[in-house]
Amino acid sequence: MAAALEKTYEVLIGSRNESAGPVLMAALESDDSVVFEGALKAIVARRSKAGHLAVLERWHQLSPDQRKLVHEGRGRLSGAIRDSVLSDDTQLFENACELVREFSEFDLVPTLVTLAENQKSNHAQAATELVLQQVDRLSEMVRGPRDYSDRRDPESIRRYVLESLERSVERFRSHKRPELIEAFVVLGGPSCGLLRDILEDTRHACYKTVTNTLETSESAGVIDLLLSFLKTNGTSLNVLNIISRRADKPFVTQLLECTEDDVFSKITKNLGRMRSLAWLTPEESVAARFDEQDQARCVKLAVALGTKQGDLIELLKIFLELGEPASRLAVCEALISIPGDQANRMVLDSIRDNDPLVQASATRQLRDRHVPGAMAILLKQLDSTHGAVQKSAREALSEFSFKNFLISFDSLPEDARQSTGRLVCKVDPETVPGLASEMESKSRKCRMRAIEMIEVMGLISAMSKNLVELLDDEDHLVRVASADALQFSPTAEVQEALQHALTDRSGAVQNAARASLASIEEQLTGLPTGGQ
Amino acid sequence: MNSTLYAQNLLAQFSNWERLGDGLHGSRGRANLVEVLPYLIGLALVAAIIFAVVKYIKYNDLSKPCDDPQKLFREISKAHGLDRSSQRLLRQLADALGYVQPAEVFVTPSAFEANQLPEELRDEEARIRELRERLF
Repeated sequence: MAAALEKTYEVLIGSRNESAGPVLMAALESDDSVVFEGALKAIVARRSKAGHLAVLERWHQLSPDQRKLVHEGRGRLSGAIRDSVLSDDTQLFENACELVREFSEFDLVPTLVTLAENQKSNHAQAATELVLQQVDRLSEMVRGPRDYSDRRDPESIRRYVLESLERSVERFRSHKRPELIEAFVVLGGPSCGLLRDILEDTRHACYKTVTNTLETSESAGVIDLLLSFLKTNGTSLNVLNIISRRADKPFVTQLLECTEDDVFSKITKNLGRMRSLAWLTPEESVAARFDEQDQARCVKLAVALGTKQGDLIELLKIFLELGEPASRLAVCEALISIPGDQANRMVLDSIRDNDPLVQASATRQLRDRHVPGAMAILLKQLDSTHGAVQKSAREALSEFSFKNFLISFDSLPEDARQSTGRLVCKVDPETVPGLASEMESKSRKCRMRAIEMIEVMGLISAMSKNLVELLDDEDHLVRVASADALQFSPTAEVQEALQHALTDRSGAVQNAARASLASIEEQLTGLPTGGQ
Repeated sequence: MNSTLYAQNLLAQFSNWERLGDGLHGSRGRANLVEVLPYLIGLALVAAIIFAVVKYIKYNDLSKPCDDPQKLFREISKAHGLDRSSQRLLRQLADALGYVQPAEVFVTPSAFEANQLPEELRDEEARIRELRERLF
């Protein structure tokens, strides 16, 4: 735009002379786009309802760039938009509705509600739809993070709009517009007293509409409201029944997200008051409807419900048979709190699962279930190639610890020492370090017992280094026991150490060393030697 | 004794109170118009000056809210620095084209087109073209 014409428009924008309005309106009739757009910008910048109405009348003819110019007048156009919404001119009404949407003019919702209630108005239906759209958007704003570029406080707007919708609820008998009740429900939230009153009073004029909205509306606001009810203590059974009947995907998705640890604790109490969820029944198709993560969440939800144990087991069986590893693992974890033969069988089945984590989970609970043959299975699991399974088996056999073995060693008969010792050796990874520690004990008795334990556990080869070190022990009895034990470790190092022990100051040690060397020689050559 | 003394005192001040009731006499209350006229003329003059000053201030005060097409025309002309002669020509053009608001010429480039010019302004074509260049 030329600087001179721009200056003219600047004067027209800034002038407090009302005559500027008609001049700009005349310019709005111009075929010259530069003049037209300048006038458009100036009219929007001025506070003149007549000018704003002229712009609204032309809104549908404006190009995208020209519409951007109108956007700059957001806030100043409210009066004209309100008049246009109430106008009988359909084009003007449509244009105004579009601007209400584009500007998120929530202040106009009460006007739209009044219009929607007017059964004689041709624009009532369109106004109703617009109310719902605006309320949905407002609900999103309230629930989402605050956009500080928009100076309006969503919570204040919500209260203002909700007031008008509450009045509309009171007038429901006369207007009978369920959409307005839906808008009220979307915006009401769990703290809305009127909404709670309606849900408690089955004879309320809006009860059916409200419950129907809660049951069918896929609006994010309604879904949020239901989940808020689920998190609130003392929610009425009417609402919980609605929640249990809803099976639409948006709701189910949101409900499954509530199984995250930080939220789940808040909903478990109400879930326990519910018998079932319509979409979570023991049918074969149930597993196929969800991905791996959601299958696991389904299991978590199912367990929290107040379902009969038989029904729960049936559902868990389906997930165990047809589910992905995460859901099978969830089932296995859930079985911990379920006693009985059926659960035991499921745990035994899980021992053979392809997934090591499922196997590990089943292994961990096998002992406590007192399943016949559990010990044999656990011993087998100790040899599993999967670390997680081995760890679970060790946990299940935790009483076979080195510590316990050490305490009871002296009181055990010889055969029990051997069988238990070998089991402890497998179960407790602390066995070798424990024995090594015992061998360094100041007490001769401890050192002697450690050598004995090494022998019964069959750990002589593994601990030959420690035994060699004991050949230099201050106590000749320990040296003798060590030299004697080393005969079962036929390595060059051991032989060398025993050779050295032949020069020990104690004759008993020398004899023991000699005998062990002979034994080793015999083992290596297969021929008996003359040594003692 | 006292009353005699008062009477004597009053008589002694006779020159001070002998014209005391003159203003209350009906014949003395009529004003002389010739005497008041200069004052009236002076007063009228002051009023006329004040009126003129207020009018002048109002005429040139473009910041006050109003609904005055002529004032708006002057406001825009002033912004463009147009002299009286140019303003007169633009007013003539607006009148000739039948604009309700003379300021419309400032947002109507087509009004300056040579072939659109009314008969009576044909002679001013050059000046009008010049104004067009200046305003658009």
